Amino acid sequence: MNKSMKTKRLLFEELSAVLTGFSLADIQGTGLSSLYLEVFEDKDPDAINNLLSAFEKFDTESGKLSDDDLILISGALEDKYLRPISQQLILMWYTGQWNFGEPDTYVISKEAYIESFSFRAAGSHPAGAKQPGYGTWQFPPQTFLEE
Amino acid sequence: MQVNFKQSLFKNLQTAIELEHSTIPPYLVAYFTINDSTNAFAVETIRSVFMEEMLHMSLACQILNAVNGKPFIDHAKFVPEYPAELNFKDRDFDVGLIKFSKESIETFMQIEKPEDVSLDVAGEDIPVLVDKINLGQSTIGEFYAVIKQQLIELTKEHGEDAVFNGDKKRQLDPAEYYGGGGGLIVVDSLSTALLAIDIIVEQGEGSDHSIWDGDAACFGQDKEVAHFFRFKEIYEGQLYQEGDSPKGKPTGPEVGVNWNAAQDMIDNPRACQFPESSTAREKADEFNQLYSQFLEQLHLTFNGEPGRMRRAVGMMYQMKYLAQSLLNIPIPDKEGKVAGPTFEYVPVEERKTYNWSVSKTTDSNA
Repeated sequence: MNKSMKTKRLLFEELSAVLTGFSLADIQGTGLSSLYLEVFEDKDPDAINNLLSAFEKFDTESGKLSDDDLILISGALEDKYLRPISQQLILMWYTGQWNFGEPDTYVISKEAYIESFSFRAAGSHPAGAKQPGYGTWQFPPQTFLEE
Repeated sequence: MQVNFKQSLFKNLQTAIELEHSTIPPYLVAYFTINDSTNAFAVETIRSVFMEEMLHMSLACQILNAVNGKPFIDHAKFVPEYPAELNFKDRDFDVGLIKFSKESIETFMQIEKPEDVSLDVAGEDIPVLVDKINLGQSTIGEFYAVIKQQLIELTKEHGEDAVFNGDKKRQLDPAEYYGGGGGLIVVDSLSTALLAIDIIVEQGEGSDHSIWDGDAACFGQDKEVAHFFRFKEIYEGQLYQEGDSPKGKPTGPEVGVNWNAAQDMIDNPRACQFPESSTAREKADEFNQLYSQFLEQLHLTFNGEPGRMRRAVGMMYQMKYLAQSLLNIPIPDKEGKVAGPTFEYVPVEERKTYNWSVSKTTDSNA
């Protein structure tokens, strides 16, 4: 896809894939990217726009980055302005919570809790949602696709 | 080679298994695409029907095992290519994988319509696996009546022990079957086989030409209308009540149905429609792998390894979550449209090693 044609949402999704380690398909599959982008734009538009434009400089193809890109991104994440917003973005995907510059953290939505990646990373499931089926605990935890 | 005196019965029961299965993906697609916070009635209704179709499929497997047959499930011919054409005695129509809409509910009513229903395509090739679903010139109810008659006549002719000589260890324990519509039963005799068929027919078509199904009598549940009438309730946005006629419209309380609150899935999605490296393709391929490996587990469950049911159930939940993911994934160059579960068969030799918690590849000995 032509980079200039890329929507802000897709850019946000690709950035999220790079920062969380989950695939772009997984990110899109949550159905949460529009909501999360809106939250950032509402809370701290400058910070998210700066992070997105830093990320936009790299040549990403479906969230996949070259080793050189990764080195450059690591550098960007050392930046004292970009680091906190990057951390918030990762926490958001893994916990479904907002906890950046607020006195209290809060869960962004019901879906944000259900889709939070910490459950999948742990091979678990959110209590009260996405039940795995009786007795499935006798099988090894869910892990990720082997390439 | 001597023809097994049960050959025709085997074929009819395999047809029953395939018939019951073929309706489940279209119902699931409608169910997954509904925004449940705004359409609770439609969600619950469609769910109640496909849960019963799953029960019917399992009951048909139990009967086939009871008479010492072998259900074929993990096979390319088992999975219809949607839209699947159904040729009925009095009408032809396509059943597709279509989002929740007035159109999809109309099709479901066609499937479940109690009278004059026959599915007409010819079968051959593998003796027990039917090539296409073929009920001849009968309705679904008449088709099951034929199976009943066969069971009764074979028992009369050969004796119950000779007909119901299947290994009892092949029966799925009803305790392993949960969350479904009604309950599974063990089939090991003529009377239990006939009961299993009554459950299938009465939930689907209603008992004694009324709108009500047989669950109040069979399972002690509240009175419930049969499948066709449940879809009709969604279609009309109104419930049936005591005294309503099967030929008329429901006259009970109105129920809210929001036809617009559905995810905008493309009709009859196929994985190959999505560009090779797109996210839609990635998830669709993953779904088809999971679906096919699920069929494998189900096949093993009903072929001597009933302990596999737990994996199969776990995989059904995973399929639900994957399907919901697909319905969030945009399709390149189709503005506003989303992907969806495609329910395609992946041949055994093309199956990949995924580490789903329940896949065979991660735990082949249990």
